Amino acid sequence: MGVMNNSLPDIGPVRAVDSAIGWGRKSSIWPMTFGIACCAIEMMAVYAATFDLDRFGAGVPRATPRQSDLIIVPGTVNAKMAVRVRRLYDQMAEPRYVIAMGACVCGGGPYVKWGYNTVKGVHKVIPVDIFVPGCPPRPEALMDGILKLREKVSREEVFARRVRTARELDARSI
Amino acid sequence: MHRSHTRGPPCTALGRVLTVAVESGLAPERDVFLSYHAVLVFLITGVAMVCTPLVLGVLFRPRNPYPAKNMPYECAEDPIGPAQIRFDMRFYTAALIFIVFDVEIAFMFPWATVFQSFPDRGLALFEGLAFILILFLGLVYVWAKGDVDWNKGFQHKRRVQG
Repeated sequence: MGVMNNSLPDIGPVRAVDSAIGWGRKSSIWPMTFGIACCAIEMMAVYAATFDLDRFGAGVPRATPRQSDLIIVPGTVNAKMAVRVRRLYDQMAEPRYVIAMGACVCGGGPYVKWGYNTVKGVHKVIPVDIFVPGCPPRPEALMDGILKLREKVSREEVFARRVRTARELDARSI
Repeated sequence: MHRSHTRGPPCTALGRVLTVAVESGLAPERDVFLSYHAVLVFLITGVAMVCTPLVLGVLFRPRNPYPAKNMPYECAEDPIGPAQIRFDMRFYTAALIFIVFDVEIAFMFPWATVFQSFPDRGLALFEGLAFILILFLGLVYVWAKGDVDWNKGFQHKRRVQG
């Protein structure tokens, strides 16, 4: 972790600085250019002019994980792809967030019983922050997921001593 | 430099400190020295503007390197070979020739689409053809130089030997 991350007491001024940083982070989420299957079409619609994700500051997909904070996993993740998803997540800059988009990514979807090659939910590979169900989800549903993620990002501790252990899953990396 | 920097008292805090330094004999002659104090302010501000974000970043950012994170980004595949390889210079010429035609098509399509609605179609046709002619001259030049030929260098070598 960083030099001063979660090292200061959880008092008013520290919390104020944390909430200012959280406001900055939630207002400038950079998603990664990443799409797997049909959900990706809905995701592209969310980026485009009609739904315009950019009004929440998250509308410019970056072409490399090094510049992204958010990976939206849109579409069926099979066993071969799961390894790649894991590596892409590993190569993202921290703090990083994951939105699981669609029924397949949330838990297998239509392949949950007979899909021999489908990973039954991407949470088995990477820690998921927001689940967006649907087959595929409406653009409004993904936007709601982004709004939920914004809330979550703005509530995180940066300097203050950590009280929740939500992102401890990151320790499993490698 | 502005008059006030050489005659009147300098307006910045640093300028006032330097004035005291000059008057107490610590610094060299007044006019030359003080007239350049803005450069010193500029240098300090420049260094501070670079260093401050770097220091803030060290304090803010999580630092958690591990092998999978540090490996080169190759769309999640294992990288093959080093990144510092030598590219053939002929790709550069080919890319330049491509741009000639790329720009041509990029401008020709909108021109052809709205061609019917031009008030003066004769002029529009002339302008379009003039544009194509200019790019065609570029193609003629490239052709004459022999850059369209992929094996240019080898043929030249053969000619020298023969």
